[in-house]
Amino acid sequence: MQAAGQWAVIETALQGTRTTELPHAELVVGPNTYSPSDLFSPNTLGAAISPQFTQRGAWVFDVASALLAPGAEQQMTLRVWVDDGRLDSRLVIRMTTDDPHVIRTHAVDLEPPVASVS
Amino acid sequence: MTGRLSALRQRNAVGAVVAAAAFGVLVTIDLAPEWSAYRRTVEPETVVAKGHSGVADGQIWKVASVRHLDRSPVDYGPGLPEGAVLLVVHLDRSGPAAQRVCEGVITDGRRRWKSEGIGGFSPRPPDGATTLCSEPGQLQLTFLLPREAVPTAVDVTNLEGGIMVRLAL
Repeated sequence: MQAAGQWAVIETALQGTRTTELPHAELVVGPNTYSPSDLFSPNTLGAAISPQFTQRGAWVFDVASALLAPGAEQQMTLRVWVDDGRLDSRLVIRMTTDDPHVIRTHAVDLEPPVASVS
Repeated sequence: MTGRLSALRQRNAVGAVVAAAAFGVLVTIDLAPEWSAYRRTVEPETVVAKGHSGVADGQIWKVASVRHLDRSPVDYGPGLPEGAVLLVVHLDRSGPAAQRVCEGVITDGRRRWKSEGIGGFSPRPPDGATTLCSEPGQLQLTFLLPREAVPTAVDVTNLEGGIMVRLAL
């Protein structure tokens, strides 16, 4: 499936700690903030996570091509939180688009998230 | 000069008292309901000891059975995650069915797992049982747990997370 811009596929492992919670995420690239695409559900993250379970899967974002162009060197920030996010901490992971963890490819096969006891 | 200072102190004191009273009213009106709602999520309205029954929300509650399953009871979808088991709890209820939605939460005293929802690993309830609080009959709750978890109690909560009844296992 073609993106309006470019797909940014963020592979993640999430582990529950104290209670079953529904995780939420957003991706900030340069000046823009993106919500995860639901076009690929249920092959993307979004299900509830519970204590001692680890869920491995991907968030997918449709990001403006100019921000992900080679050499753009934009700051990318993934924010993850549970509940409504107010008055609570959020997990924030920052990297740049030229980070060695960023892999550029023409196509991605999305596998459904996998849960396991950690 | 002394008279003006004294009047100023008096005016400041009155202002401080009025501000403190306003703050107290604001806390009472604005925060008290939210604090009460939070307290209901950590303090059960009713606690039922193991093997006993208790009254909550106009019904009498008792643990009828607890069953362990080590494989998925449904024919579709993936199997249980590696290292996980299912705990199927049946709760006896007597009295009129509550006209409300509820959820099940199981705890080991430190952590809390919500019950399986639609599309989860919940087995089909036997005759006379239901997965819905608003329907009559035994309430069936299914929990996906790490194999080594040792649950100590099941909570039946309302949609806001308030614990209506805690039944020790």
